[in-house]
This record gives sequence, C-alpha cells and structure tokens, in this order.
Amino acid sequence: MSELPIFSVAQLHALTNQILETAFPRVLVEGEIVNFHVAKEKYVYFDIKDSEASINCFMTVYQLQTVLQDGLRVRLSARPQLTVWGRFSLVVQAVELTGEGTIQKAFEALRAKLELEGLFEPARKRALPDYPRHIALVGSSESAAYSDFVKIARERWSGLRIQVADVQVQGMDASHQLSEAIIYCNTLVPLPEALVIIRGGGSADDLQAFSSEPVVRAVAGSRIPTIVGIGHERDVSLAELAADVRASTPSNAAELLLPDKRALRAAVQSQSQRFQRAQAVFYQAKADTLKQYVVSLERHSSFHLYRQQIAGLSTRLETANRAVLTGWENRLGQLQRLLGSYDPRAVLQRGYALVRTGGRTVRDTRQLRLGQLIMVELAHGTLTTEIKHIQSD
Amino acid sequence: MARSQPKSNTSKAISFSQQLEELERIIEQFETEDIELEASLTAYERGLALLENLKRQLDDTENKVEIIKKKFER
Repeated sequence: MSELPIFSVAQLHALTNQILETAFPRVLVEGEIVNFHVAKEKYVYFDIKDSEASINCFMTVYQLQTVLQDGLRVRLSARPQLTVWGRFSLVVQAVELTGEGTIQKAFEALRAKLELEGLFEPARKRALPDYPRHIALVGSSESAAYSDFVKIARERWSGLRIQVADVQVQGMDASHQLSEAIIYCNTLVPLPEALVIIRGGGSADDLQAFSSEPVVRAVAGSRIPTIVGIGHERDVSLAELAADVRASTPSNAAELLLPDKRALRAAVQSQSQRFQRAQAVFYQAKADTLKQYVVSLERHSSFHLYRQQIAGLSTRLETANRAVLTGWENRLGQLQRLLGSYDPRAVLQRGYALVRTGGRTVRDTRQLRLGQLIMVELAHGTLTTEIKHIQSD
Repeated sequence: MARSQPKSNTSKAISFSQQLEELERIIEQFETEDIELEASLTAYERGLALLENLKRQLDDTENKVEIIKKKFER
C-alpha cells in the first residue's frame, strides 16, 4: 500500500482528465437524448443513452445548432472529462441528428419555432437585382453545384464579379461554416447585390445543415437579398423557406438571378431600331412643317409683294429725303440774303447815318429839342453832337 | 443613391435597367414629338451614348470569380 503514490483529490482529478484528454481528445458517440434542459438560457444539459448505458452531457446554447429534444437520436462530437464533483461527463462541441425520423422531428420543431418568429413570412421577401454586377456565393468550390452555377452564369451574363465563400456543405462543421460565411458576406465592401447559397442534391441527412438554426437565421438576417438553390429534393430545407428566392437547383439559381444576355441583346437591338425610326420620323416631321411654313408664307401673305413694296418705299424715301434736304439748302440761302439786306450796317456803308437819343432811334424832328445831345452812328465810328437848329419838313 | 442627372458618358454609375429606362423615355419623346427641336439634339446624342453603353455591357466580358481567402472552419 505504501508503495503506491498518494494523490490529493484535486491531483487525482487533474491526472484523470489529463489521461482522458490524451486518450480521447475528441470522441464521436451516438445515442438518444434524454433529460434535455437549458439553464439560464446559456447552458444545455442532457444525457445520451442507449439500452445499456447513459452519460451526462454539457454544452453551451451558442454551440447548439439544431433543435434538441428528448427522444431524438444524435451523433455527438465531444471531449470526455471528469467534473469536479467526480461525475464522468461529455463536453459537447457539435450535435448532428441521425436517422430520418429524428431529423424530421427536429426539422418540424425548428420550423414551427421559426415560423412563429415570422422568419418565413412572404412579406419579408425582397426582390433580387435585375441586372447584378457583383454577387457573393456560398458553397463548396469542389462541388458540381458550384461548377453548374458558374457555367450557367457565363452563358447568361457578362462582366459579373462572383465572390465565393468556400465552405463545407455537409458534415458536423457545415452548419457553422455556412452560417459564418453568410454573415461574412454581409460585411463585404462593397456589398454584393445578391447572395447565392448552393448545394447539390443529397439525402435528408446530407442536407441537415441547411435546416440548422444558425444557417436559417443567417439567411433570414442577411442584408443582401438571398437566393438558395439546393439540388433536387423532395423536401424543402428551412434555409430555402427563409431565403428571398428559392431556386430548384444551383443551375436554376443562376437562371433566376442572372438576366439572359442573348435576350437582352435582342431587346437592345430592337430599341436601337425603334430609336432610329423615331428620330427619323421626328426630324422629317419638323422639316415638313418648316417647308409648309415657307410655302404658305409665299402663297398667302403676298410676301413677295410686300418685299417689293418695301424695296420701292425705301428708294422713294431716299429720293424724297435728298429732295427735302436740297430744298432746305436753297431756302436757307435766300433767307440769308434777305437778312443781309435788312442789316442797317449795310445802309450806313452807303453813307447814311443812324441818329439815336436816349437809346431810341430818331425818325422825326419832333422827338428833339434845341441843345439836346444826340448820338450819330456812322459806318465807321459814332459821334455825339448838340442840336443847334431844328427844321421840320 | 440619390438620382442626379446622369452624365452623358457614364456607364457604370447608373445601372443597366436605369439606362434602358432612360433610353425608353427618350424614344417616347421622339415618338410623341414631346420635345423641342433644340432639346431634341441633346436627347438624340444621349440616346446614342446610352445605346452604345448598353451594347458594350452585353459584350462577352468574362465573369470574374474570386475565392474569398477567409476560412470558416471552427
């Protein structure tokens, strides 16, 4: 007994967990869920059991990607550990439903829950862009679905930028990768005009991720309008119900999203012809109207006559003007001569004299008296003289 | 995006559908003679530019596929 090492409880607990971690870093285990419950909306507890044994399980709500309930068959990815209370337990990292019946049950439960939240409401559906130049695609770049989409895209549309988020579309990590990729595409700058989510066909089991809660919520929460195209399947996935547009296949997604350039070329060609015709008719009509104006002007408004009259009047005006001017010149000459003859200085030149007294011109001796001073204006010079003698006529 | 008067030579700024709509409006103005002669010359030029843009966008430019580098594994 004394040869064995002695551990404290904590040491033994730590050692056991070390051994467990080395031996089983990760285990996959299948069984049925019982005693499922969520504590504080954060921690998920349940037991996984089969007909012979039962193990405690723990995980967080954030890791839970499917609706769980008692009785469902699941496959867990987990790490075994010994709790501080000495209980053997599985710390669950991922849960995958197994078996058709189980998947269907979980599907119905989640569908009912999300439907109640309004995630599938037709009123939420947005239209896809008419002529997209930039889209994001979430899917596996290795898949036929991806090749089909790219091929149809090339046939239908030109100059399209496709940003591809390459993800696993089945398996335990698919739900996480799909939802993360959808969320990431919503952060791209510039924001793509549409988000395409595609996957080829498969069994209900293969397509589980597309009905998982994180993926459905990511699709419903996408800022970018979404189109989901999953290969031929009888049953619709919840991601398709949450998408703005549901395509029947990945190829159909390309057809629904992208316009057909051949049809558009024909449409543009026809608009081109219509435009050429419309403008030709328009300008012909304008030319015709103009021609009519000219004709009617010439015909009805005696346009020509007026023009001649105006020309005639103009000449006459000019002539008349000249005549009037000449007349005035002559008349001015006459007036000048006449005025010249009235100038008293011309008379004085001939030897006459002008007699004034008190500013008045003297015409009569009766205006004068003896001894009065008078002014005598001659042609050259003026003299003042005194009256010595007066003799009337 | 506020819809401002489009410039005469831009093709990327306004979408394919907007260009088609604008061309349609111009054609209708000509067809209904709902445009002045002066303005019609500018409209005619604009119509030709739109047609050219539309045709160019339907040519065989390759689609560009880019794989996003980010990994989404847990």
